[in-house]
Amino acid sequence: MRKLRIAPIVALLPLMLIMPTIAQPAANPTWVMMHGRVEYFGSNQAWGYCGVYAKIGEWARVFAAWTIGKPVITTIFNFYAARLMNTTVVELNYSSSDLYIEGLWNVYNVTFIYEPGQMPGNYTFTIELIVDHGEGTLTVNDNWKTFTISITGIDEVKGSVKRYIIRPIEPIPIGDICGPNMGPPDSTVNIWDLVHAAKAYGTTPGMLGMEFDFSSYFSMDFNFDFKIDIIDLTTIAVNIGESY
Amino acid sequence: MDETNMQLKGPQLLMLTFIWLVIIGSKNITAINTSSSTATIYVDPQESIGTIAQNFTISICISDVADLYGWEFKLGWNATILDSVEVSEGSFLKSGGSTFFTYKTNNTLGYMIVDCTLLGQVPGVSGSGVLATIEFHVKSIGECILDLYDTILVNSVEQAIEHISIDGYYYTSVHDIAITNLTASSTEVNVTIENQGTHTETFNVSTYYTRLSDPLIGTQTVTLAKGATVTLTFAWNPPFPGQYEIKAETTTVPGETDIADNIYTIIIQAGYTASNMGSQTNNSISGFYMAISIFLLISATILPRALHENKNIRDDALLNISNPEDTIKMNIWQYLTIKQLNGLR
Repeated sequence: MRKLRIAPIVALLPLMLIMPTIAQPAANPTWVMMHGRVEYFGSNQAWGYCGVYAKIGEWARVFAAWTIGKPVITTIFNFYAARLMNTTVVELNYSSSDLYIEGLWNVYNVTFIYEPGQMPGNYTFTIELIVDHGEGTLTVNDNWKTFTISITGIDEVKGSVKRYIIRPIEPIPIGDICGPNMGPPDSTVNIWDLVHAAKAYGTTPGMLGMEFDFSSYFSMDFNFDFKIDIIDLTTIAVNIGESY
Repeated sequence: MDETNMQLKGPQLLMLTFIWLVIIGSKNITAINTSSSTATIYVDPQESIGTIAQNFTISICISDVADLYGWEFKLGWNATILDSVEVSEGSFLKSGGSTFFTYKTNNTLGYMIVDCTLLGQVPGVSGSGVLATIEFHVKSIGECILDLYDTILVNSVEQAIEHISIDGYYYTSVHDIAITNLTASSTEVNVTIENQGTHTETFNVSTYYTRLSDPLIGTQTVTLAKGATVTLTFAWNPPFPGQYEIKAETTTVPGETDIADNIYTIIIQAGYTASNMGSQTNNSISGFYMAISIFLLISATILPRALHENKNIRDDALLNISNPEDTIKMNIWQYLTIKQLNGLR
C-alpha cells in the first residue's frame, strides 16, 4: 500500500525536474524588434505599419495600423489598428516561421475628424472596437522578408519586413527611429531621433503636415495612443546614448 | 657620421613639428579658417578654477549658428576630481519656442550626454547664446579637460549643422609654496623655494641659525609665479666656528594649507678659517675646541697639585702662601679658583 503511494511520485520525478526548465526564462534571453510595412488587408491593397518588440519566450508587444486605399489629406481620416493584448507564444524559428507570436488581439476602427482650417487645429476622434481579444498570430517568413497577421474575425494583414533586429543578452533600446540627416536608423538613440519625434510633436494620424507613411508615424508613437506627445519624447530621452 | 645624423634629424624634426602642430592645433586652425561662418559650440569659461568642497558653474555656449532646431553634446571630465551636481537648459533654444530638454549624467565615469530640441513645426534659432549650464562640485585637487565631444547640431529640416567644438579646462585653486632645498657655507645660505600652487605668490623668506638664540641671518621678499622656482642667497658670518643649525622659513601665503614644507632645516659646520681648521667636517676636531680642551686639561692637572703642595694652608679660608715662588707660577685664574675652592671648604 505504501509502495503504491510513492510510485507515482517517483514516476513523476523526472518530469518535475524538467518542468522548471521549461517554465523559467531562457538562460540567454533574446530580444527581437521588427518594423514592417502593411501592404494588403485581405485582397485589398493597404498602407500601414506593423511594429514588434518582443523578448523571446516571455512577452511581445505588437501593433499594426493600416488604411484601405492610399491615404490622402482630408478632414476625415479613417484607419484600422490591431494590438496584441495577451501573449501566449513568442518564439524564433517556430512552426515553420522565422518569428511566431500567438495571443489575443484587439482590433479597432479609428476615425479622426479634423475641423477645416489651419492645421493643426481642433479635431475629434472615435475608436470602434471590432475584435475584442480575438485569437490570432503574427508570423514572419521568407527569411525575415514578409509577415502575416491572422486574427479571428478580420481578413489577413500582410506586408514586408523593412527592418529587424535580434539581440541576445541585452535588450534593444527603444527610440532609434532614424539616423543623421533623416537617414535610416543608426543603431544609436540620439538627437536625430529626438528631433524627428519633436518635429511631429502634437500631431495625430492624418494631420496636415504629417506623412501618411505609417511606418514613419507609428514608429514614433511608442505607446500607440495615436498622438506624438511628451510620453514618446520621454521614451526616446530615457534611451538616449544607448547603442545596439 | 655625426654630420649625417644631423642632416637626418633636421627634416625629421620638421616633420615631427608639423605633425604636432596638426594634432595639437587642429581645433584652432579650423576655428581660424571658418570663424566667420562656422558655428562654434564651446565651454565657457575656457578655463575654470575651483576650490575643494566648493561648486563652480560652466556654460556650454554656441555662436554663429543658423536655424538650430536641436542639439546634443557629451561632456567628459575627471571623475576623481569633479562631480556634476546640476544641469540646466540655457536660454538660447527656448527663445525659439517650446523645447524638450533632457540629460544623463554618469559621475562614476565622468561624463554626461545632454539633448535639447524645439517642438513642432517651428523654425530654428539663429545667433549666439547659452545652450546649457552645468554645475560641478570639486572633490579633490587636480586639473582636467572639460571635454566637449560628439556634438550634434540639427536644423529645422533635420539636417546636420557644421560646427566646431572647443573644450574647456579646469584646475583646482591651490596656494602652496615650499622650500625644496637649503645649503649653507661659512659665508652664505642658499634657499630654494618652489611655488607648488596655482597662483603667483608674494611672501617672505627668512633664514636663521640656532647657535645664538636663532639669530636672523636675513629676510627677503619673493614674488613667485605658479610652478616657478627661485634660489635666494643670504650672506652671513658665523660668529664662532662650530656646528650650526640653519633654518629657512617662508611666511604662509593666504589660503595655504600645506605648510609643512615652508620650513627647511640643515646642520652644518661653519666659521672655520684655514688656520684653525683642516676642513669643516665633523671628523676634524676644531681648533677652538682643541684650545679649550688643552686649557681644561692643564687646569685639571695643576690645580690638585697646587692644592696638595699648599697643604699647610690653614682652614681659616685665608690664603696662606707658604711658598711664594709657587704663587708666582699661578695665574690669576688659578688663583681665583683656589680661593673659590678654599671658600667652599
